[in-house]
Amino acid sequence: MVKAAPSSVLDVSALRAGYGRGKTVLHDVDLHVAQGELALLMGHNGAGKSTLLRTIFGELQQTHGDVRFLGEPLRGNSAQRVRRGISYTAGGRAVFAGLTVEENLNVAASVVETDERRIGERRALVLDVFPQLVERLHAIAGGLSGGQQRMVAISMAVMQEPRLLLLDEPSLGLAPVLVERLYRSIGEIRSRLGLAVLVVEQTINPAMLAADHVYVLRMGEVVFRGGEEALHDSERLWSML
Amino acid sequence: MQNYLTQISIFVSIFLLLAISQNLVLGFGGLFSIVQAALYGVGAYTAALLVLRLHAPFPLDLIGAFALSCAVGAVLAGLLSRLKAELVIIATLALQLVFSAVFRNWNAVTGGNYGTYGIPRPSMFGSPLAGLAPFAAYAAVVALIVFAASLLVAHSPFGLAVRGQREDPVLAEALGHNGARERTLIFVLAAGIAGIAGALYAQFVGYVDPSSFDVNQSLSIITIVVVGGLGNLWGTLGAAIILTILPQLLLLIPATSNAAAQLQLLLYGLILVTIVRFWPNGLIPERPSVRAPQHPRAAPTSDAEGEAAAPALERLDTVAVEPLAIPASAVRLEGLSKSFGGLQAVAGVSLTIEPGCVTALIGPNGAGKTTLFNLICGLLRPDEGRVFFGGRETTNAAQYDVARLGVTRTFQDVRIFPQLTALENIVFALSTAAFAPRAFLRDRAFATLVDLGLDGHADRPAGSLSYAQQKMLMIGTVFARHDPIVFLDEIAAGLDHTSVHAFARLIRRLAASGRTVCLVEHNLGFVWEAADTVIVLDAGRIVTSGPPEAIQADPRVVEIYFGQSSTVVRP
Amino acid sequence: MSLLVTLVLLGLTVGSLYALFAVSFGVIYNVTHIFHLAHGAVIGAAGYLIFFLVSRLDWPVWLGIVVAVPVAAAIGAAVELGFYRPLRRRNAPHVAFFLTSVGILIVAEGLFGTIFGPGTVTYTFLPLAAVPLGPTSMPNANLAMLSAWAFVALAVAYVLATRTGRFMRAVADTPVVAASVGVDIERTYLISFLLGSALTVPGVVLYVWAQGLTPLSGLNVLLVASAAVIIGGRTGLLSGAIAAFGLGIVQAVALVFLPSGWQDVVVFTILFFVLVVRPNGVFGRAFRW
Repeated sequence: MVKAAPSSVLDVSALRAGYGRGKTVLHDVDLHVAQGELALLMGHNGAGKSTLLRTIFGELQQTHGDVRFLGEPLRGNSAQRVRRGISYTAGGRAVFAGLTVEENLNVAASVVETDERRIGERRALVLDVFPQLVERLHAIAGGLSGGQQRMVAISMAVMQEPRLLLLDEPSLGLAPVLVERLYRSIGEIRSRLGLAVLVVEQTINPAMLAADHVYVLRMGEVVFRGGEEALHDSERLWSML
Repeated sequence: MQNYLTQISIFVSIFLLLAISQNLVLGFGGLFSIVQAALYGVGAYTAALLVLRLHAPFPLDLIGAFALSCAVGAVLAGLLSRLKAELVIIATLALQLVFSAVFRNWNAVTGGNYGTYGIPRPSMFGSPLAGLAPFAAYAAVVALIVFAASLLVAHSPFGLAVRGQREDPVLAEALGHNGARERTLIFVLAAGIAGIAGALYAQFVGYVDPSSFDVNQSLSIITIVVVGGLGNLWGTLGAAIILTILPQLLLLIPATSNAAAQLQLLLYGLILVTIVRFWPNGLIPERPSVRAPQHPRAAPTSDAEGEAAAPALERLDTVAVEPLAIPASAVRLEGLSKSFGGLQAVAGVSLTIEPGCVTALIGPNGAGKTTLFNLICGLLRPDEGRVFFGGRETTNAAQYDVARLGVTRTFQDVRIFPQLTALENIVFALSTAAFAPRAFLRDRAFATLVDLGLDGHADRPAGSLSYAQQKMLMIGTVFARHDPIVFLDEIAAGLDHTSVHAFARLIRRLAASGRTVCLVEHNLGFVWEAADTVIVLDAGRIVTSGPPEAIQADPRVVEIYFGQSSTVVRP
Repeated sequence: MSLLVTLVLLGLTVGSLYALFAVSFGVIYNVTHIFHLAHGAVIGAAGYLIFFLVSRLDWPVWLGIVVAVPVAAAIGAAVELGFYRPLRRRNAPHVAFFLTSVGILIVAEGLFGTIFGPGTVTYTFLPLAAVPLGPTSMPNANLAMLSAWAFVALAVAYVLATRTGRFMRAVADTPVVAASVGVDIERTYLISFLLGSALTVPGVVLYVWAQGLTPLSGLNVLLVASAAVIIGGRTGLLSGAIAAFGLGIVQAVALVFLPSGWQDVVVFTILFFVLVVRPNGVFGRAFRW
């Protein structure tokens, strides 16, 4: 049993999960993220990264092991976990394509907050972090570029005032310059709001070196965990994929 | 009373035909078509008109009804073929309503709301079938002939092909079947049978009016099929008997006889709702069209439950790789490009995949690997560029045409036909070998299952097998087909360490036999072990290619996955 | 020319009725993507309930109508909770929803026919009269039509502006994203059924007033309403309503060329060809709501 540290936000212990009928994807995964930390989870496709995030988010049920959030065991479906303070955004299914940017933000916020004034305050914060969205507030989200949609998606998650932010391959399909900008913004959000952030990625961009921890997942097992120094040794990380 | 029962038996024959028609389309073909009552009406009016206006003798009225219903069915099938499944429901509903309205209003031809009267009984051997009993016998004979023919079709390779495309049209095409043509054929056959039912009705009752061919009738027919079980013709027989007799009982009870028509509707509705609510996947599971051969053997080579992963792995090393009769061709791509909306998935890719070695395509997510496979195998058409198999261009060919050139292609994630048995899955993959006798296909398929340790599960629906077993079944498809060219998409996904080694050895044996083997992979460990040539893709273009050792050490490849390792960016 | 104008006006009136039903069907279909044929059962139930309460039990007309609203809503909700939701839980195939819906519709048809008979039932308690409006007067039927529209439009606008309305539009847009964001999808579906079923009542009153009610009325109305929603493009209520008006006009104008019985052919042939040629509807995604 892992004793949760006081500032610990997410504690995953001995987690096993899969898609039923013998398709176990995760084997005995341990992972911890503390408040204000950015943890990076790497691995190739099929290694189980998305499965891990979805299990933490409550879309999949674990078969063994423990997931603790703020020291408490995590139960309930994903809608309930959002209300408890976990927000999730994934590459392919991120925004409401037919609604405006503002409507997207409002919907996300309305799930956890009913006070329109507070929603307005949070919107102002989000626009501060992503000033490019200001002039696009009334544009249809589906018409924005990939990078802008990604910003909207992350903004939607931030609008929910989470304690833990789960990001599934936010850099997918983006040019390196945009990735750099995106991660700068993620860092800013983390600092300003004191969030814990768990990011899943398949490829590394220098901007991600701002992470506090890195985990490498391979065929469902954590084969490596390390601090910032590890991130600079790309040869080593490559060999472990 | 005797007469009453005989009359009911005639209606049982008619509704049996209608239910068979509906089951072929819905249960086997997977097409949610609500237009059977309209086709029933087409048959009835055709028979009526042929006899009354053209004085056609029996059996020309019956044949004419069949033929015209088939023709109408062919036209409708053509129109419906481009529609997605959910829309077929609404489209056929619209068609049913159009036909009903035409029957009610086309006075010149159908007699409008009053209908067409005075249709004489058919004359056989010189005298008309005036009595109830002779007509009942005639109707029963027709119904039984059609029933027997339908059973034959259901158990034929064609029937298996139709069921496969119902489950997974893309997989069916990848295995060489022209799904659209099979759907059309079954729809046309079903239409013809409905037409025969219509002719019988017209011949028996003597008049036809639009109220018998409306949407409520279509819904009643569907109820019979659902009660009997989708895809189950014997169930349809039982259900047709029960559901035809049941409402008749209402007529006998004095209290209910006045509202009999309404009560019948109520009854059918309640039955339908109850069945679908509690058994949404059909009341009786369909029967497989081919079963494992019954010859005695020492003991089943695999256990009946769950795990077969470890023992099965050993089989991968012993399963026989069939030698090639003719050498495999190389696959050549010239300047292939494809974009989706604004996204360029594949840009100007040219490469040659050589026989006798394993070629692996790697690259990060979104690099275009699976899109490339789809372009080569015919699931997608390129915007630019050409594809050649040997000397033969296949650029815009459909999946089934490419498959018939001797290509086996597997998909990401295990893809099998869940409702077909394990044995049927393999037989399906083999059944494009034209005119091979059923027993031959069955034996060959069964031999493959034995080789892979799945023979104990041969008659179980593939969907009930474990993930590992389903994966072996997929491998079985590859082996049973013996194809010279093999494309495997993420075959190593979800495997543990030991399995990965076994699979790598297997792939190498395939290539060693002279086959052209191409992989898309994310599991780099597997790639280094299995491949002779590695091609690296990024953002739709080829970055580099070469033997695994060279690629592993290539800094450009490291960069694709890791960016530049030198600079550090701090917030 | 004046014949054409008369026909167009007739078409608009008929279309207006279709449009009311198209909105009620669209509220459910756009959000849940269930082709809820049982909506016809709700329509029939509302119609027969009002008849029963007012004609047989001598209730005041306004009370009968007011009571019909929550009853209709409850029936719609019952179908969702009792049938669709359990089917979703079991990952039932798409076909199962349709068969269930059809079955409920048939049960309702049979039930109405057994209790009230297969003949036409009318609202004799709603006579046609002229209502004085300042210097002129207007037939009370037209006034009723306008009130019905006002009621429906207000109800829809109110919902769209609220938090629940936001969730309905989100789920209608992309259910997967709505789930990721934590929207309670099941609750949103339930509200759609409640609202859409309740909104049948204004249309039902007008329809039965004009044409009378038979056990088949629910199905007939529903088919045109759903045709309008699909032809309109299934993304917004406005597109369905406009398509409904269009169908009404096309039907009326068709009277010039075709004998009266052929109107159904026109509507459903149009539907069929829209499905084959432009499955996303005539307006596609042009309308946002």
